[in-house]
Amino acid sequence: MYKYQTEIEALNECNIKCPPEELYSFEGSLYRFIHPVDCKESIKNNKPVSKINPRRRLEDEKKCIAHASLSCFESDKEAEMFILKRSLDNKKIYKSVGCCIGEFHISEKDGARTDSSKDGHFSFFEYAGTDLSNKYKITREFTKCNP
Amino acid sequence: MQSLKGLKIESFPVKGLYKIDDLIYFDGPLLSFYANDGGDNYLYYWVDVDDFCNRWVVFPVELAELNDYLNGKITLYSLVNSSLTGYIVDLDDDLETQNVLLIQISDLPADYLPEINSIYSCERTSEEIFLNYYSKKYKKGILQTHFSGGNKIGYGTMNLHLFSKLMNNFTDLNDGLGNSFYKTEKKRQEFRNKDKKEDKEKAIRKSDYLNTFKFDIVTTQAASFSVLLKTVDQEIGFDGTPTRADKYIEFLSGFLSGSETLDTLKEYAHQIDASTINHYESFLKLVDESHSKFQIGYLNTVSKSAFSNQIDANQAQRIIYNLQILDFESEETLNIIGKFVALNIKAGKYTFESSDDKSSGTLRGEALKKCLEIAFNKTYQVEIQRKTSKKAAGKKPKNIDVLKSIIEIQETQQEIEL
Repeated sequence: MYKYQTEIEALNECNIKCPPEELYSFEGSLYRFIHPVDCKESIKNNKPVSKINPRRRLEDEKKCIAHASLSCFESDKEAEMFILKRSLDNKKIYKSVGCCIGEFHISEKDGARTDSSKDGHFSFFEYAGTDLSNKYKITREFTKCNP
Repeated sequence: MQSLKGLKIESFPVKGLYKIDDLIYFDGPLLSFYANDGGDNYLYYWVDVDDFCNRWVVFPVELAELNDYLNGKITLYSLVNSSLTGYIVDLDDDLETQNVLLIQISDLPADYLPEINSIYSCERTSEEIFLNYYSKKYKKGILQTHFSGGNKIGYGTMNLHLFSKLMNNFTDLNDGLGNSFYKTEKKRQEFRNKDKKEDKEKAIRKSDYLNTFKFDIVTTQAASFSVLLKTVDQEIGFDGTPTRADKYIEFLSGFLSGSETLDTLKEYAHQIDASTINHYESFLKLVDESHSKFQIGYLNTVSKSAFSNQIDANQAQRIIYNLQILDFESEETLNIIGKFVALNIKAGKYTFESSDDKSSGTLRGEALKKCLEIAFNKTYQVEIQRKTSKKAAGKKPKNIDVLKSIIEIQETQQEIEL
């Protein structure tokens, strides 16, 4: 049972395959963007994008990843490369997705993941009962972060 | 959110915009392409967020410049600055517009503009985006033929001689495959109807299928050189239900990819006439000789049908080899209208020409009896049994035609049929 099972079932009813592909459990580290805990935006941490208010969207999102998963990277280097590229296009991207990279220590009981794309990005689907808020440490803080 | 210089207006004035695609997406859209049926094309560019709203700069975009951006020829910075004016739109969580400002792009603060070196680096290709754009615009399937590589094809340019020869052969290949597709569909239907006593499917007619494989040119496009074509067929598509044109492209795509394997090619050879095989071989020789790469992409956003294929010089060589060692026989019945141009009654031989076909062969049965009445200035409908055979070792396919029946067409009938 996934943490966002209700959302997954609602998408399935709309004939949207969710989760989008075969997932597998794993144990180890994953990296994702977060806001520092002393920042008011930290309430947005570790939520699927559809749970973040206000959502960055232009119409109703029917993407599985937006409703039921977290964006992650294989390494902090790949996460850094990714955000640096994105910040060339959108200078305030840190304000939206988080200005730090957090390293999360994941056990097999926490959730299941997709394969990663060539830039190291993958989606992590938490299992019901998982709480990632105490499972990370900040590995990098970007100077541009000033929320 | 920071205050900006601009003219506050009541509402966003451009109506009827629908989303074509997200060009940059990470945890939600960051740059999205919108269009409307009136021909307006806009980009929604995310710039900021606060506790209540996301802020977007919305600006008009020229398709050629968007294509250049997606192909890495210009930056997002240039694209944004190519528009003199735009709008600031603040959208809340319910997508309600909270604030609209008419702005001059030059008045935007620096942190609302991309970096000067903001080259497009996301996964979406210009081919995908524009197939999506034109399919949504025309609400039907769009076929893209794309040529790249070699020294005769550049960014948005192509040697006319090579282009016309390739497209000539591709058009003939397409027509031949279209006819084969119709025959295959007809046979499939006959098979389905065979054991049915009632509720038989209405017999499919060739006239319904003629437009299935006919295309109109929509536009040409850079990167490297593409021609976008829309299907002429007016069949209305539905979500998840492919149209006849979709099915034809699936057939075409299956043939192109299948021809790389001799066994699959043999299966197709029974359905495809000899001249089509010849045109395909000529087409592939051009791809090989020009060291170019040929790709097709097809998308129908209504039925959600999508196909793609590519043939580079190496693949072309392999397929040419397969075609040359192909050994096949096929038989078909042709009903054509035209005139006799030669007749040898003693030998029982004839030559007959229609506007788009020519047949030389032997007269048999009823046709042989009737040949004494034939006049060269009269028009006839004839039934020809055509047997096509091709032996291995590089020989060209050969047609053996037998003329089985002759019916004279009266002048008045001709006018009606015309």
